[in-house]
Amino acid sequence: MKPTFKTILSVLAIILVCIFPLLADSYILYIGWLAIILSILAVSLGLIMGYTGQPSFCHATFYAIGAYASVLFVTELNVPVWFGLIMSLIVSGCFGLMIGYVALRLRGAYFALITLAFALICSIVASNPSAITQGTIGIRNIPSLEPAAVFDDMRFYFYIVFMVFLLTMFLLKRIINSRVGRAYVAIRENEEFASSIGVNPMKYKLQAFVIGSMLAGIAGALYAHGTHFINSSLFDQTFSFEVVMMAAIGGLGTLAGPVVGAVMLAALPEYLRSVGTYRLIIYGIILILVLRFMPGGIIGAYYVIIAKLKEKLGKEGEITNAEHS
Amino acid sequence: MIFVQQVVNGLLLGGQYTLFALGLTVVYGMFGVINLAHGSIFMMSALVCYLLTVMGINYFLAVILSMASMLVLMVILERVIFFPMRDSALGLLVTSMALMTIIDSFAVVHLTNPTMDFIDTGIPNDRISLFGIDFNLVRLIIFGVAAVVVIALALFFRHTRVGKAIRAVVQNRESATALGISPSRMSMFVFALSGALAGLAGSLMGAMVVVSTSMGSAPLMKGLVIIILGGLGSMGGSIIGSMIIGVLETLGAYYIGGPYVGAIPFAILIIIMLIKPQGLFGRKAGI
Repeated sequence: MKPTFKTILSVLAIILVCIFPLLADSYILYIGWLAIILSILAVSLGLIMGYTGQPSFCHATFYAIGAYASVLFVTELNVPVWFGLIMSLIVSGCFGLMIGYVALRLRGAYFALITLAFALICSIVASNPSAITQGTIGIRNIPSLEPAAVFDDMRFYFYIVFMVFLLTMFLLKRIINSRVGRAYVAIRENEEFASSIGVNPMKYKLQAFVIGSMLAGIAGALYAHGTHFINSSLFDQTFSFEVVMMAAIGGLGTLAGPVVGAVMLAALPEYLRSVGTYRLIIYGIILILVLRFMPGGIIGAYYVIIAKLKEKLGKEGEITNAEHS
Repeated sequence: MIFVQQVVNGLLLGGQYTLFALGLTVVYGMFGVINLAHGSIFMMSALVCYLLTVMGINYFLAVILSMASMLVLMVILERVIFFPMRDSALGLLVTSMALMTIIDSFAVVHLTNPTMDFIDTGIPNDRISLFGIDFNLVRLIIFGVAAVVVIALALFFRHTRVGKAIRAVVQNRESATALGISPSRMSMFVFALSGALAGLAGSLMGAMVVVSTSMGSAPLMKGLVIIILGGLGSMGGSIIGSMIIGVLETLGAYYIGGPYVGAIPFAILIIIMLIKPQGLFGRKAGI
């Protein structure tokens, strides 16, 4: 197979990320590490929102559930952290199945509202100090991945997180390019039509929702074992909104889009340090501008520019491929 | 008697929610989209009203001024942001979420003031006893205002040209356009109305709860529960829904109490969605 421009770009990006921990200082490394975790979170929302077209406003809730699931298994039952990570997948997947089963029976605005209601219930329950989450006091001294001597070093942990990210992207890429992925898009474009040609919308929507919430869960667990502290603010509504912003600014309906959005929004506060308190205002304004003037997000705009360039150079044909992958 | 007292208190609270929920309902009817920034407009109006009364302006004048400013703000938002996005339901929903974040963060950064208190209405905080039931005077007057506004709105929608035109657009945008009604102008009216209602609800509510930059989120969530309960886009439904939620909330707080009481409306919401997704009075639609 002839390597395309996209493959070369991806390989270059992977190499760059791999040498990043060797060059960065600890603070920049932390930002990069967070950007990768948020990328997993945003891309998993991208699957639900971008491919099956379901506007979920409770995605950060699954992230929080995953974080708490892993941490509680590790601290209360003294299981290895690796096992905790697997439990975070299972627990957030179960919650995803439960919520998805209820919420996905409804569409559009109704679906969005019921996910919002679910997020609020979780937030109210979690912020009660006597709940298992210990409210805003939270849980401290969360152990690192075993062997702790190695993974206490952020650089090594960075590689683990990056590996999970690559696995996620690989898995999602496989799903999107398969029959299942095409069923997702068919449901997004026209649910009645999809079901008339034999696609069961409920089955595929639920499948995407559960996969998305499992990935969000493991992202949360990875976060918890890196920062060693979590509290109920993980359940905050604004966090779910931020994840939606990442995915939508980057570009819904693509895999690269949410990643671009997540990295941008993770890195932006560092460049805009002087306007720290205006962070959310700036995100909001960017989001409104993006939705209005480039509905495909940053990635969508990039494809349009590439297409125009290729047209000028007289090379057509590959553009359609780029737009649909 | 305590039970009746609690029900009456709940109905008085429901009158408040009606004003808020009607603003959400008319916008939903227009675009088929929930305006998540509605609670932020509500909060801004309470803040504006509070700041005006602190400056020494009469409460009722301050209410009208803050209503007017919310109306103008809403029309500007509608022209600049909402109307150009009207063809994408998902885009509108996410846009309103972004607006909510922007307004709330702006208020937190610029308008937070720990000394903020109830809005001083100038009405004595007395209780009136009628048939053995106590009525708080402030709440009663506010309920009266809400009732008058709701009746006026009902008459407006039934008997004026503009009101009928809005209802026509809400029911079927294409047919209404074919009949010569301008959706653009109606959309402006609807948002202006929604802004004024949120403004009125906010500045009235500020007389009963301590004004703060976070006071918009709870009414937004309750408003969402109410309009779903009543059936999205149904005005009568949202009035009855407000009363139901007002009463249930008051009874819940009195008889159950505890930290999870806040979650009750959302639990009700989820149950309703499962049993009767189109709400109590909603039309069955493929939403």
